[in-house]
Amino acid sequence: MASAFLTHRQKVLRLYKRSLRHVESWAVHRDKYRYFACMLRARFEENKNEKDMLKATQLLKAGEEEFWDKQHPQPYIFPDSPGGTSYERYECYKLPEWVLDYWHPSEKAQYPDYFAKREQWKKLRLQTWSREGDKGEMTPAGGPRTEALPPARKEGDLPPMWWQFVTRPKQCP
Amino acid sequence: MNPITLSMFTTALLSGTLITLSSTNWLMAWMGLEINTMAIIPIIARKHHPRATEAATKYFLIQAPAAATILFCAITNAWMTGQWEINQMSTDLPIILILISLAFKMGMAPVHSWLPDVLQGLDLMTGLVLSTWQKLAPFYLILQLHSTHSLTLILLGTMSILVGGWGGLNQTQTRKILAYSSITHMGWMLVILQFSPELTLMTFTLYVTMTLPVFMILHQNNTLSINKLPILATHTPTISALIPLLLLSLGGLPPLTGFIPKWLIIQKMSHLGLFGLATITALSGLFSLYFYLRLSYISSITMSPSSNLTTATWRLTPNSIPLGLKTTIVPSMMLLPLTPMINSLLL
Amino acid sequence: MMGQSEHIAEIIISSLMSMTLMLLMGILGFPIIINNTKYNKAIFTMKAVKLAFFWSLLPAGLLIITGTDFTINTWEWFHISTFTIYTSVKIDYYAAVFLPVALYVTWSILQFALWYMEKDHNIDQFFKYLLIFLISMIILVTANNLFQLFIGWEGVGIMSFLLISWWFGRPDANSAALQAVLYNRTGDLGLFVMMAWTMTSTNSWELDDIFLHSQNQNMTMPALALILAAAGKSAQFGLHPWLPSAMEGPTPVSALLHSSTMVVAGIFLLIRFYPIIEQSKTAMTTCLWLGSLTTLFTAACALTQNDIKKIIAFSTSSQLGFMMVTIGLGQPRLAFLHICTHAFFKAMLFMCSGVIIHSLKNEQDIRKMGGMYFLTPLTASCITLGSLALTGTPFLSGFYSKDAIIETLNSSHLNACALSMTLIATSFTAVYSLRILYYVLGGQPRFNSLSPINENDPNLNTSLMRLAVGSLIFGQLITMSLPPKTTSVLTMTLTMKMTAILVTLTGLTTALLLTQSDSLHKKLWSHLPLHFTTLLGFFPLTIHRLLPKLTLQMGHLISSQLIDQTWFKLLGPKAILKSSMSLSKYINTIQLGLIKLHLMSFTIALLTTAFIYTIMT
Repeated sequence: MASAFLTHRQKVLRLYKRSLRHVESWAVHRDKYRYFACMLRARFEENKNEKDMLKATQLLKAGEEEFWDKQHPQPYIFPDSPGGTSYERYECYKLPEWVLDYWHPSEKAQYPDYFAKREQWKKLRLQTWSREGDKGEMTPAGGPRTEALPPARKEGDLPPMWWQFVTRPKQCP
Repeated sequence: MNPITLSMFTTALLSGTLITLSSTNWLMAWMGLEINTMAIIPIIARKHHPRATEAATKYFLIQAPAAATILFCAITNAWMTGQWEINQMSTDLPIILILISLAFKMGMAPVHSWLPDVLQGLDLMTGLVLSTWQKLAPFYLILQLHSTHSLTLILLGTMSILVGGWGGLNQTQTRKILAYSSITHMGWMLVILQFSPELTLMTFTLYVTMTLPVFMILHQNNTLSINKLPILATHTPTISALIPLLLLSLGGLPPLTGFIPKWLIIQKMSHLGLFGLATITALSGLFSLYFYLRLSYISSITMSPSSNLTTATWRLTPNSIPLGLKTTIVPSMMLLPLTPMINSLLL
Repeated sequence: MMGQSEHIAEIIISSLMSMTLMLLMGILGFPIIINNTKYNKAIFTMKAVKLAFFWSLLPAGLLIITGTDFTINTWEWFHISTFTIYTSVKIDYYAAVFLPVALYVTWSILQFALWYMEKDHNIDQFFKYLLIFLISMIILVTANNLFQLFIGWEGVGIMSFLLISWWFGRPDANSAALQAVLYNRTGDLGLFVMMAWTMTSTNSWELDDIFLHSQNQNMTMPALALILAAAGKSAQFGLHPWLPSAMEGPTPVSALLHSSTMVVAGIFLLIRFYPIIEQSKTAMTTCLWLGSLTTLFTAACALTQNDIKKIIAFSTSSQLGFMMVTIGLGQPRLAFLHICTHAFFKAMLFMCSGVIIHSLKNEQDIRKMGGMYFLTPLTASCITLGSLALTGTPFLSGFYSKDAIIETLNSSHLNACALSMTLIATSFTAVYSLRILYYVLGGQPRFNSLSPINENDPNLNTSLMRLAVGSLIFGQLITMSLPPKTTSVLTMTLTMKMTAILVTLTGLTTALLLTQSDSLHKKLWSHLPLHFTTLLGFFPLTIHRLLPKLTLQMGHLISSQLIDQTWFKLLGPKAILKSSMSLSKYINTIQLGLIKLHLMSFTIALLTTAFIYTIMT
């Protein structure tokens, strides 16, 4: 877990989701999966209204232990998730985003909207760079400290360009 | 000192050694040694300074019993065998005692202790004479003695190397350091003497070649203590750049001249199967290398901690490098490629 | 007169064969050399392999017609003092049969790759790699010389490295490629030992010389070295983990790697050097045991895998173990036959899995497939055909080799334990094949509804069907035209004759029953046995993690604690400093400037020496 602190609620929800995924790995067929998923849901619902935090924590601990005991040795991983079979497969076709700066004007002219927006974005980024740093929006060395998303930008700003890479036109999906 | 007097003493100094070198008779040899001693004492004392006088006195007091012992042993030998030939000496005890007293004359361990004391009282040029020329005659005598006492020689040599190394480690006075350096080199010569006298001769020659520029540089800048060494850079920058090489050559670092004798001596020992001895001598060379490195570190590799407020003096009065220094500084660093030639010349 | 004409015929045949081989190499080498952008190089490469296949029918045809067992052509290459290295090519039964098979399979695979790798940027380079891979294998197969064999051997290794890490942006692909190289290097040690041994004791690397000189020698050492080499290349137990990892490569690579190149090179080496191995009882037993262990272990691992390519990879590994057992039984020709038949249906199985993976957007997990029987009918038919051939269904091509091997196995008097392990593994074949069919083809679809399912590309269709034809008739063809040299057991009881089929059917039935019970709502999870096989017998955990960790920890301890801290600090400089400083101070105690001390030292020295001298004399 990348996070430093999680609320009890987050922990429980994560346990639930993980358990569902592992049940899915165990029970291949949909009907069987439905049955076990409902059973799992019922078990979580049972203690939904537990107010005593001590007891709730103990329940959570017991749940985590049971999960550890019954987890699938080879859980299903989506192909493009980390650990999946096509994760980062097309990484070798990617180029850093700054190569767009080196496009020939005639090439750039083919995508006028995009490049106009990109120029605007670059300018904005230059302006707000120090501000963003001051706000502590830079990710700290060991990953983000909290789970929350970074604060939304002010109105009127362009949406942040998250990607660092551009892909070649022919790249596989 | 009156130049005429000085020239007279110098002549006596030279002739004393030459007499020893050319004699086959103990009496003549002894006489040469005495003339030599008598000539050097006024030269030592020619600066009328309490330290110089003290050094002269000490030197006399040291040389006198040594010479007396030599004469005593020679007479004993003559009394027992009926002849005065140096290389015909055959009685053991006198030979050993003569070896000890010659070592005393040269200042070798374990009877080395006077040498740093005396050298400390001299000016550097006299010190140079004392640590080079003055050693020649006694050394010749040791060479002449047919050395059947290998253990004594090896012990004397090894002890000198070790004592020279350890003694110099803790010194701050350049003259004392040079005295210990002299002891170490004498040790190297003595260790190899019975196996290869030619190597001894070569080592001696190279030692003189290497130690000459060091003494001259220190003399020129009047550097008597190592905390004066950084000033060298302001007086003579060229020399300051060269002095680490000179010193490390004296210490026997490989691409420099000083490596030749160590290399050949260790090789010779290994050929003869004296691995233990070779190891001890090679390793104890590290001690002297350490203090030479320290000297060069202070003199050139680091900056002086005191800030230099005045203009560097070499800009005002450019020092010309003396001829003797010029001629010796190059061979004292760069002779290693000529090793085969030196080998064929001397061996 | 008769003899003379026979002699002439022989010369003609031999020159024809060598000519064919040179032409073959020329055809195959051409796409690598040309650098003309005018052509589509991928298609060009595919066509070159196709042409080469038709050419390679010539030596095979000559072999069938004339029955000339082999031809050798030798040219002197270079000398190392008294040791001469030749270039010599051997087209015997093995090479003449293997060449068309390999070329046929590779042709299909390349055509398949035209479709599969269509969107790749470096498709030309990919085809070149595959071609060099194949050429290395041909060099290996036709070599009559350890040196040439070594070139082919290493070429196959290097190309497998490059192809497995084709998607080099993936760390997993890189580590899989490294694994392949490292395990193969371990095996190469065996080949090195063999080469050194032959160099010293037979002074020649020519195969015939080696066989001739090795008649009266103890061959255990070189034979074991050969087995080590084969174990590395063919992923036998102990050196097997790289094979499932190699599934990181694109599917055409897996298909080529597992059918006609790379992994069969190890078994082929043992077949080539069978005259040496057969001389050592130890080596034969090792083969038998290693093979049966591999086939059982990897078949068990295949049972519980969920990645479709990994299941097929483990089945290859199991079949390789089976071939090893056959060599251990003393039937190299049967093992070779199995290599050839196996190449067809294994390549086809991989291609089918490639179609499915492509159709489901890179989904490889069989838990997320299902219902493909209706969506991709051709692929479904081919995968069924391939699985049936793999299990040894009568009169498909797998039957002709597998059944013969199991009959030999049943009638032999060798180690019963190893043989029964092999039989169990044979029954597992049916189980994991059924598992693929059940999860991939049957049932309801479990994948996303927007999957680009399409199998109507002509490249795909023709290549799949071509291999399907091969899987159907090749066994029959080869057994008809080239009967095995060793007489097989002809009379046996009905049960023994039926063993292969019975064992397979038992496996199938059990698996079906278990599947039935599995669909009832029962307990979800099980423990150790499943974990054992799913996690590959904890092999990667131990060998790839525990051992390196221990080694690195020890290395760290030694380098930092023992060497750096102790020797280079405490016992080195610190100790010297301490002792030198005290000694230095001690030596300087005499320097007080007192003349009496100097004179005293002289007096003491004199007196001591005199005293010692007096005592000693």
